[in-house]
Amino acid sequence: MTTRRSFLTQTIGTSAVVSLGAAVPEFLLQAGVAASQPNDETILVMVQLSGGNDGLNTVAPFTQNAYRKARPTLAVQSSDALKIDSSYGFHPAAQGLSRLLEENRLSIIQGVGYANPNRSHFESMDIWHTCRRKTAVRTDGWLGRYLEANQSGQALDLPAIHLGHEKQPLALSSQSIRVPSVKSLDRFRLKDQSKKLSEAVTRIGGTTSSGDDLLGFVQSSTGSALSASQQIEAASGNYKPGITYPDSGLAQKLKTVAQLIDSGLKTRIYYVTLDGFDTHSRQAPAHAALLRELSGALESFVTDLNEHGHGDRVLTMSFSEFGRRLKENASEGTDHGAAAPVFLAGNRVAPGLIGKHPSLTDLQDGDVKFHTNFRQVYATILDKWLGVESAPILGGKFASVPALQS
Amino acid sequence: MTRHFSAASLLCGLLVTAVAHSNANAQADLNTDERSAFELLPASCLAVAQMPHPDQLLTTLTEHNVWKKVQQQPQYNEAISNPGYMMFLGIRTHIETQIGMKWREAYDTLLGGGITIAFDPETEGVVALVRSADADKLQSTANTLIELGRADARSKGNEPLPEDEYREVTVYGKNDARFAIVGPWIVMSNKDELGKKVLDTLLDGARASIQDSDNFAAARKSISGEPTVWSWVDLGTIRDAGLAKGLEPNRTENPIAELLFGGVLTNLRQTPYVTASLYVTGKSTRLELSAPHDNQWVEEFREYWFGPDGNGTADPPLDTESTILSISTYRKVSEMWLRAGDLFDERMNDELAKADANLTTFFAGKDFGEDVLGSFGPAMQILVNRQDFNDVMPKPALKLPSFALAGHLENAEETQTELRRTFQSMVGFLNIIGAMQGNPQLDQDIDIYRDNKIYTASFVPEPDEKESERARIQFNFSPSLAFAQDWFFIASTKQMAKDLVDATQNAQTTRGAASNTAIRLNANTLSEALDDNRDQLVAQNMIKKGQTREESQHEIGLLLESLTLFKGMSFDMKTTGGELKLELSIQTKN
Amino acid sequence: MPQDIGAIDPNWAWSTFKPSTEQPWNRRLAAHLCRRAGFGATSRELNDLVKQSPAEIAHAFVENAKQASQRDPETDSLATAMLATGNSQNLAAWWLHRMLNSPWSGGEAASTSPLLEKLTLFWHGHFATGAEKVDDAEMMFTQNQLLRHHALGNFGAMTQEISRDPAMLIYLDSTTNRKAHPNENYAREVMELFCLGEGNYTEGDIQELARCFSGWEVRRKKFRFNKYQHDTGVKTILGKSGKFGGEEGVNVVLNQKALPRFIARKLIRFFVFDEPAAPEQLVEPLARLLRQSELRIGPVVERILASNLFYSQSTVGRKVRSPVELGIGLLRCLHGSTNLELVARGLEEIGQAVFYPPNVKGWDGGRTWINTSTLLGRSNLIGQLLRHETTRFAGNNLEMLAQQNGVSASDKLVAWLDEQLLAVPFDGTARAGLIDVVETATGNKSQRIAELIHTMSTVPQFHLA
Repeated sequence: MTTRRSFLTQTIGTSAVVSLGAAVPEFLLQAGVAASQPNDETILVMVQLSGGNDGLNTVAPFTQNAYRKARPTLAVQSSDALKIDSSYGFHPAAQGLSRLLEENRLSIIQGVGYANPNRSHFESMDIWHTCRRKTAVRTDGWLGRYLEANQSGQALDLPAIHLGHEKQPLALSSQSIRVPSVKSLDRFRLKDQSKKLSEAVTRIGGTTSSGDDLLGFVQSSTGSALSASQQIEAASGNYKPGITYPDSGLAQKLKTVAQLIDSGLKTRIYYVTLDGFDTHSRQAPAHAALLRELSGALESFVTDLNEHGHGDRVLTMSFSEFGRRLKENASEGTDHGAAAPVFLAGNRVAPGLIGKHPSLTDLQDGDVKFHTNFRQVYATILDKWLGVESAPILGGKFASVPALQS
Repeated sequence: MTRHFSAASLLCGLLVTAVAHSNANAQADLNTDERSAFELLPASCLAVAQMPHPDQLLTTLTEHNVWKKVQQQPQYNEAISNPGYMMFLGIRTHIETQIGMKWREAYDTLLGGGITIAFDPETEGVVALVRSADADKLQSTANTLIELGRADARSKGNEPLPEDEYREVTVYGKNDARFAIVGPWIVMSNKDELGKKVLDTLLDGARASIQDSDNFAAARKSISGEPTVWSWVDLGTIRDAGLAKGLEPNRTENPIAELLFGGVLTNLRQTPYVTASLYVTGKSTRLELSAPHDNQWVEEFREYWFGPDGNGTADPPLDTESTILSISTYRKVSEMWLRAGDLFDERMNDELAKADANLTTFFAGKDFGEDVLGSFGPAMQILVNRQDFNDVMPKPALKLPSFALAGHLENAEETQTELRRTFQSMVGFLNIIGAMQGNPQLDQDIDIYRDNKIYTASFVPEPDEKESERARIQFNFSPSLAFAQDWFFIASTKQMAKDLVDATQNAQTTRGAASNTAIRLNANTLSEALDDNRDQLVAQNMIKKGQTREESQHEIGLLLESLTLFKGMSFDMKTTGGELKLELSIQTKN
Repeated sequence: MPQDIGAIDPNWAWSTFKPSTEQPWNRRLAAHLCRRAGFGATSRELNDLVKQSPAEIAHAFVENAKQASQRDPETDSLATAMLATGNSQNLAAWWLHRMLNSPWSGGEAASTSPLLEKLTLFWHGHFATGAEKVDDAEMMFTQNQLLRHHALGNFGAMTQEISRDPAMLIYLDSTTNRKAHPNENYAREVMELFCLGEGNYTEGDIQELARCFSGWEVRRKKFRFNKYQHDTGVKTILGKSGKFGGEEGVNVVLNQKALPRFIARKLIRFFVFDEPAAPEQLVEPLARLLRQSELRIGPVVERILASNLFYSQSTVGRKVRSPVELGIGLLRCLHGSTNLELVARGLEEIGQAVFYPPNVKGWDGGRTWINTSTLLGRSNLIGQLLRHETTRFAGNNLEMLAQQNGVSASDKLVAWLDEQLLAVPFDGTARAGLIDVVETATGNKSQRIAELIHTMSTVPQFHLA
């Protein structure tokens, strides 16, 4: 465990500590102690695939005639598929996913969806976010309700962070907690002359001793903020990712998430999105590019977290608002569908295929049927990963899915 | 106001610097040296810039209309009555007395023979040669100024300018900044080795100089007229030495840059040299970049840029009295789209693949690259016009210019139908979105104008909005699609579509050699279009600077006023007479 | 040390503050008043204010604000220009311009007043409506003018008007309201958030009030009463029965005893201290005044701003500065001007985008302003404002500002800034540290002063006002 003194040396530089001598401000010491406590809380990273990812071409049933017949131009050929077993394989662009599976770090939950599937992007996404249908009041999301249920008295760090330029996902909304949408790491870093500034602030801000509770609160918050800034600055300055992240938007977002996790923030929920999955025409090259981006980013992220010793406490989940129609359309694309696979990535997943691949002959309105309610996946994460009771958050008890190591 | 002040101080600084670099040890026999600066530069120099007549440039500038207008501004008088400027004048007068010349006379005398600067990669040094018009005056002035400078340094406790000797020539300064005066020449360099080479040539006569390089000679020959500043870069040698990493054939990730300048890259990978000439006259300032060009160099994947056999030329712009900006260019965009694999890096290709899927969906299953872009001819234009709102109701509060894309259809009959259908579904789509957002609806109509069809859609005002002078921003637009022979126009307003139909029928002659790309900006119409929105500009300025209305009104007034000094700006890119030429010109009013 | 709030004598608390030798009326106290009643004051304004008594000033502030609130909003051509762009974010910059440029001196010419803008901001948080959902700058502007018009006037009239305000009704999903399915959203907020507070009504009261609003609709951005959809039956709200329409329904709520207490408590939290919650005995005298003045806000605000409690240790430095108070306040005090779109974006990053409150409850304020991200954001925003290319102080730079105020020497400069910007003065050690900052800083004089102010405003004490 880090001592107070060594913490101060790391965060505000030796010179400041020496010059401060014995008069080290109390507010910084408190923050120092807080920051030096081991951080072993589990973290959830959500990767939303917007537009409706084609599950049938992500995990392809390449041996089945029904598949090849329905998709004369788009079907993944058995020679190209990255084999999961003798019957199913990843799209050839999803090499990262395939490697994660080989390392036992990927769980593929098949046939996830919900009853009476809605095929509007907005409506279906809202259902995934809120767990409620249109007829109910939908002002908060499932993660927002989780955050509310788990408010600690005085959380100094943000409970959740949405990273990206798009509108904040409804999943994070709640009555009382405001989750920031962050565009870059700069939100957690002092910009101008940060070292000099934090040294001076430490020297000046700590000297007014006071029994004032409100001032004490601002003082300890300032201590935490300066220490987070220093850690993020140190982390981004000589952050050595365990792997070179691809130069894609999603990979860069996940790299930022990795840096934030490594900087010691107490944030437990991170949310990123990748858009563009609405492939109605000329699907093949576009979908390949998207899967390359997704799988490259996920693989780098998981590898990087392991390099920095966070592999055991971070779980990443990717989902899309729906899958796509089995039969391809006349524009070499696919239309909105229903059930699709959900991926969980991390060290503590139960690796491999979970549940059956949905039948290609028993269809509903041309789409494969779900057999696992998405709320079951949420319940598994809430109960077994985040350690809270899922029923009040999801509005009912849902059986968990054996996708995590027990 | 600070700008005028600093321009003046810059001039004077130049003078002082030039004069300060003087030497009593001039070699008397060199006083009438007739050699050109180029003969003195070592052959290893690969880049040169020369201003042959600095005195003429200053005359042009001080007699320039813009400068005279500036002097009439109250701000100018304010600036020259400020204490800093007064002090500067005092110092200037003091120096004038000491050297016995007025500053302007000194400037003309000392720099009159021209300034030449060269880069030598061998020593990684830069050398500057200044030739004065009068060797004797140079010598005496230099002595005076060096002594003045040394006295000043001593009084401030600084080290006075040190000196040294090389082959009986006094060399002033130290380390990476030294100069010497030999006859009418001032030689300055940041590298001793390079400086010595030049001094050796000066003292001993003939040595291999850049004058002997074929590459340089060819470049000199290509000069047209009398540039105020001329420069040359031996790109061939630099490239062969592996010093031009930026030109190595990497695929780019920037489609816009490729579309605009991809062809320039093709040229720079092969051409032996590049020259830049700056012409400053009372009427215009023109920068011309040129490089030898051979159509054989054009890679197959860049044919979209140069056209078959390198003959791709843009149409003369369809501009009218109200045109603010026109961009006319030759680009076979569909070819670029289809050859993306050769032009762009993997990531960009992934992005384009995603875009292609979306666009193909949008155009009802038509292949975007092949069918949609493929139906357009390579000569394209983008025009921006000022709108006349005099007889229009409602008038929008924010008065935007209209704009249009104009071009030719490859297969007019068939493609017209396609475009019309896409236009109509687009309008329908906008109406649905608009209805959801409470925006006004578009009403579709077909207009026959000079026997040509214009498909148009105009916004329907709410009853209480019909006579409004502060209507919503939408009332700047009446999206239109028009055809005339093989022309097509996609315009933001019906009026603009009509203007373009007119423009095609009023046959135009090509002005000058046909360009690959020609851009014209008309300062007059730009200024009028801005003036239409003066209130808006003032408000924006108040917000952007947080200042009061009076301050902002003043600032915007000045901006619009200063625009009236200019006529316009133009940019041309051509491949003619074995050269690739880029010309940027700014014209001022007389 | 703050006093024990529960032990404060209510009579003393709300009596008029009379300066004494122990607590003289000086620039620092005047600065406290201006921070709370507005967004701070320039040094010159403080010099003028110390010549008058606190009670006179409170009265003048309220009078100026009242006059400004009655001026014709149509004459605000800056707002019209911003509206032409149709973007509510530009409207935010317009409002910040108004906050920054309102003079304390009042007078005939002044069409704005800092207190009026501060109260409008208070009501904007009270009747919170978010531009993201309303998605129409014009409607947001209309609502903003409504709040400004009534800011110091009659709370009842304001509530009646806000009940028909299109932006509010859109925000609370009440654009259609049929008798078969009356929308309870607005009725609930009238009771819970706008007038009474939890515990002063039942679910049944909400349902009955919702029936009164049936037939109230928004069509083409305007309020419309659709009589065919109005439920004409008898409703029973909070013990009163009748064939109430919407207006009568609101009147029943406005006549509740709980209302003056609810509003008085909120005003105390806004103007006096964040925490703890004011005890009943402190709320009651203001509630009584509100009732006696028939729900007029002006007299209550004047009473607060002139009171003993307002100038006491329980109040000074006992509020966390809101982002707007922080950003606009700093500029306002130092006679600064800058790009206000930049300020608007910066304020959004640290949690207060005007016209975009987080939810129908408005901004919670107090400690919720503060977390890791917002504290760093506050420091970064001030750093950016101080050094931005468009920023000017006293029409020029910080060096000029210091010169104009005769505070060029480091110790004088620190003391001057401390008096202007901080509620509770720094002690000697802290001041010495600040003098050291300005003297060891690099760059020209203005840059060194910028570094000083940047440091000062990152120190924890600065966030308390």
